[in-house]
Amino acid sequence: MKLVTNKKVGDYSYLFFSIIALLPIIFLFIEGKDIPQKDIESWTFVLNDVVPGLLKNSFQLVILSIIGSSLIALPLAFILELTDIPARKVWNVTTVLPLAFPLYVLAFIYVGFFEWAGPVLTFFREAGFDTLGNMKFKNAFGVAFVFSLGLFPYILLPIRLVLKKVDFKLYQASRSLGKSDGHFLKKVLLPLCMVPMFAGCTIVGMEVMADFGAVSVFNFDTFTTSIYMAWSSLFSLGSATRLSLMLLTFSLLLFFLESHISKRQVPLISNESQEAFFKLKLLPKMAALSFLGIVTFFSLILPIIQLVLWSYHAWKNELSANYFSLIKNTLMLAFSVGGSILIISLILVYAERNKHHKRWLPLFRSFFLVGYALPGNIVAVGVFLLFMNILGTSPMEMGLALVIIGLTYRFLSVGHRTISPTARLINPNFEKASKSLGKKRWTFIFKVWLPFLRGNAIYAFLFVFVEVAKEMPLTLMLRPIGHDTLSTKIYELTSEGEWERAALGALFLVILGMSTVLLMSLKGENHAEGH
Amino acid sequence: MLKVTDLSVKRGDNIVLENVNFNVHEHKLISLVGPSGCGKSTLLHSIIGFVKPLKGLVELHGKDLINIPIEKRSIGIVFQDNTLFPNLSVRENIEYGISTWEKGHRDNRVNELLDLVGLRAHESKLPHELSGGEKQRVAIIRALAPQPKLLLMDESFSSLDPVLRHKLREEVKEILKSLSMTCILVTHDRDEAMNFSDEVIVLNDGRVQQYGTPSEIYLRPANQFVAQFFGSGNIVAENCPSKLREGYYHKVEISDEGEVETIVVRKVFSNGFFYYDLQIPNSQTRFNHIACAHDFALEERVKVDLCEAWSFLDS
Repeated sequence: MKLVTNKKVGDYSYLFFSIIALLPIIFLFIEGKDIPQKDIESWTFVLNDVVPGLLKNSFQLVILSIIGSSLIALPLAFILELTDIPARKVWNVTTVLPLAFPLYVLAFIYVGFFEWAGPVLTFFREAGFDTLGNMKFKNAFGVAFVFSLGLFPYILLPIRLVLKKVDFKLYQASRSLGKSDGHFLKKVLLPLCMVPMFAGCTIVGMEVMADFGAVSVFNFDTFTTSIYMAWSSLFSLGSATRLSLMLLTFSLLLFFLESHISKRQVPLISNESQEAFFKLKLLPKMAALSFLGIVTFFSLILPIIQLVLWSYHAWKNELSANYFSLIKNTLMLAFSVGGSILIISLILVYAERNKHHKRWLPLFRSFFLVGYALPGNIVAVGVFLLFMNILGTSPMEMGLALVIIGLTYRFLSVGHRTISPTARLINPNFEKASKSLGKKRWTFIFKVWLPFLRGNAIYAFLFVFVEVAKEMPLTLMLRPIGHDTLSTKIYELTSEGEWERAALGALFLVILGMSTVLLMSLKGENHAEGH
Repeated sequence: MLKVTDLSVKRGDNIVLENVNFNVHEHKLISLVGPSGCGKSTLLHSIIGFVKPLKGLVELHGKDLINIPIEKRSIGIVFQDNTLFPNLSVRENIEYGISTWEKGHRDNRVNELLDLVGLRAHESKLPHELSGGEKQRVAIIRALAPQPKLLLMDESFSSLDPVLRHKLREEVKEILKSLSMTCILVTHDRDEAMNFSDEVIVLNDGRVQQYGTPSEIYLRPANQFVAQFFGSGNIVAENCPSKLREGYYHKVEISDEGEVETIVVRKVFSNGFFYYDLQIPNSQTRFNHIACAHDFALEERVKVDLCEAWSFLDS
């Protein structure tokens, strides 16, 4: 009887805290409903003069970035999964490493390259190609180019995951039925890739809508830059809230679209065969290798070379005590958020251990984890509103604690999704066995449960650590005045076109990012082998 | 109809098939049996063209297949499982191989095949919505749709549970007979081979050990391997102390009037019968899995009656 009561208490507590976790969004709606008197003027300006342009810009950017990323990702996925391309293991890594670049870093590298005084356009002008030499890069196509290079892995990875599971015997069956490779590609492989491709496209859409840093570098107005403008220049919380609500609506639409699309994937059985579907002849193989090479060059090699060169020029002047304090601030923040997310994720995962059969769990769990689907600006405004209402004064007085809470809310999902799948492998009977041996719950947690999850907990901490170090808009909006981190400093420097000075911090972030991307692919491979 | 001559296949440094020879006559159901790793599937895959042989000929109706692409060989194949195109409905899967046929003709063919296996009501379902048996039925009629000259079945029943396996096997046999199909079934299951086929090819270590009807192979195995794998496995060695003639005995019965005395060394009860392993005293000769309704104790002495001994053809 006591057990039943405890279970119910556990359920109610989970539901209660999940609703608490939704409060930042609830406050966005409450505050956005009525605009304060003092904000009416600024909101009227924003609504009439800014919003139509934002809608056009955002729509254009999302569509162009999705097209660009898909044009890179789809052929790459086919080449890497279905052909006998040489050095596949190397390409496997080089095609995920672009994820290590914060988009704003990739953006300022390419803006630095293609600006009027940059090396590329100067070269064209000196070579007599004036039209090319005066080309404008700071437009929707330029931003979409950068987004496509930085975001294509979000489409590539889910397509590869599906193609990996297509049984080689399907191809053999198709041939035995008298059909050509082209027919198999058109009727079976391409349709199977559509669901992961659309799911990946919606993730790209979400990332584009959520981006703040890259579009800022391009001076390209989107919702996120306008929220920041309303926040920092117009000092209009009301306008920032309403713009956040608009962006929230698009983000949630894309979020639900993505989960809806993902559900339509037909189940596939893992492919045991390592055989390549299509054995390429020399010319197609050269073409495939060239395509891989070009993508790797623009998304990885060129940006790294440029960062290293800029850092080399700038390091003597930049590497001052001030820089070390930036690194210290960044690491301290990442450490605090990583630690708090690790603890909350473990508590959540433990609380969920006996609830997986409950139909309400996915919905209420998403209340805890929704932060990751939202742009940092929205989370910043939501958390700000929540504490403003609780404290009755400006929550900026909370200092760094407000940033830590905001970032914890934003990245809780990263910790949770790294720990949860492994925790589900722990047989529920272990806990019963521990009880039957007369041991208390804490003994079970510390002797069995936590040691089982140790590896994943370390991964979770590291993934969050890097995400926090790279994060820009939320930190920028909620940080105490004067408390800079690497990302906020990069924002400041790139706003002034100081690419060289921003490079050193960016290189540090990229190296951090690469370590986790490599760790993640290693973890993926180990998992696949273990599986 | 299908003639395989001196076929050898190499995988890496290993010879998987060595000088394989056999002829398959039209409208016959053939089973290719042998232990795991003996080269059965490789042989099947060489016939359809998935595997390129080192040497030898594969001829279908007198035409050498070696340089003909898979899609032009007119040979259908049904795998063990999971080979329905997962994004296509049952009907679309069956239509896949006959997509170039004229629509009316194609529809009739699909309807006819769906009726043959009783799956008309499931035609718009996706493969993951079907049961294991239904999936295999669809895989079989999909392979039959383009009217291949030869059908190959690679362990096509082995992923099913025993009851369903037996039922589907009978059903498929009937369908193939009604269509006068020529079919080669790869299986490692002796009983399946006996029940399904008109003729059996026993393969081991990449070589054909024997080719004949199931009863020929059971009663007169070519060698010790065939006797143990396909036959009763009751072999008496040369130096048996009970003066039994050396050779293979397909029939061993427990009987009070039996001439040979044995000891019960193992017994199990299954389906209303006791199955005994019996050993001739002071020898290594054992008769395994001998059925009897009577309950004997372990170590008890029982008499057995034996048929005529068969001397192996190869020895």
